[in-house]
Amino acid sequence: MSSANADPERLIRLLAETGAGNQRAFAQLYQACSSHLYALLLRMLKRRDWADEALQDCFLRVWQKADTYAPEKGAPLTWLLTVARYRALDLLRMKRPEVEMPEEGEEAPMTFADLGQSPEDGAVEREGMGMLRECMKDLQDEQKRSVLLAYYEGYTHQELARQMNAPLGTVKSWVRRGLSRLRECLDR
Amino acid sequence: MRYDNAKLRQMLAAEYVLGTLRGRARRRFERLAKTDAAAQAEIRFWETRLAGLASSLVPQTPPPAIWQNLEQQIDTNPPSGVTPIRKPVTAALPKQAANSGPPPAPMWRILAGLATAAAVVLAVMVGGRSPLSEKAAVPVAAAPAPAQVATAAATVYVSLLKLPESTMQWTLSVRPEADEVKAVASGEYPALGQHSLELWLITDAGPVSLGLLPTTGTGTMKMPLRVKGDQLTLAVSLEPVGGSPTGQPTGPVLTSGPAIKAV
Repeated sequence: MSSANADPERLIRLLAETGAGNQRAFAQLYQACSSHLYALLLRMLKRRDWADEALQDCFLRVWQKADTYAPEKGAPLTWLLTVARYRALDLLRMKRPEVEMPEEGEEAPMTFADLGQSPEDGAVEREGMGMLRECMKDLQDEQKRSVLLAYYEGYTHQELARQMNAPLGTVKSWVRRGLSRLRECLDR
Repeated sequence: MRYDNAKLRQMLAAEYVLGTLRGRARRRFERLAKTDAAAQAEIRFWETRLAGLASSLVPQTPPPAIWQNLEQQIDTNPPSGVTPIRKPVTAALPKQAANSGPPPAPMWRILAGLATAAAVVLAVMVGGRSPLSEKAAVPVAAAPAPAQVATAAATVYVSLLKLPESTMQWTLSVRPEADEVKAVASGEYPALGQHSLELWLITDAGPVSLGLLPTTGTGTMKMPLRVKGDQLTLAVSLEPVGGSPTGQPTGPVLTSGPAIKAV
């Protein structure tokens, strides 16, 4: 996808036209943004079938709710990614219990032990995060890891505690202190 | 909880957006944010900043089937801001390459869709019960009485749930004020052995059973609790004949999706 396709002004126009019921604008919006949303959904949900389902849900919601978008709510792609992430969080909350009880013949599910690549690997290295990346550097390792795991994996405090092998209270405080430091840094 | 403390509000907003604020605390903060501009601003702050983490990922092209499904869905579900009986914004264009999106279709009104669903209800009322309904431990969606069809409740959430790798799908409408959930089954039900399909409403407190889905025709179920918000989450699980014996899903989730407030 070229950056011209994700030009915010173009996306704002496409969202406005989509909100008015223009299916062609909606198709163009989908073409311009779906690969970004899909990347996030695949990252969070791990399974293609879940990511497919979530992407479809998201765009159906965007189709229904595009008229509620206003530029002061942030850049259009930011807004769309936020819609996708909340949807992924909902799905994870609903589907994770199933993950631990695989049915025979099902695709191998994700378990907490075999996440493979650490979620912060790669993402932090990549460009485009600007100030956020700079501010992430200020965080202690556990604070950064807990914030990134919560963001990319949608983990609850309990899941973070399990994944990071630390007491619940400790993990909560890592998350809070991490966010608090981020807030101070991003405010500067 | 006190929200007048700016630091606390900042932290709650941050954890809300991050997703670690859960359950009742999440719902409370959501309610607060509806009327509290400072909380809204905090949420927006974090949504904007944390989205940097998502936009750093390498884009992944989704499979074409997703767009094809969306095309079908948007034909019957107009955007919420579209007033009834309006013309498409642009004139019809010739269909281009496969991935270039659909030509504008006539705007369907949601009420027209509901009227169609009502007509289907009347048409299938003689259809009887689902073949999966025997020995039900869980209420089975029943064919509605004619009076129910005419009842127009103030709020309706609509959803389309498809069973993967089949043509089976359900159009669902949830009417909280009427305590009613209606399911219209269509497509071909794949042979899944001796099972029932149970419909769940996903709440912050966990899944709540709505009843067993019909595999043909239409059925109505009781809505067991009050809901609000713009969207509900529904899911279908594969259960022993008659439904989950535990009151919680025991089998795999076959499909799930949002039910979007349409009226």
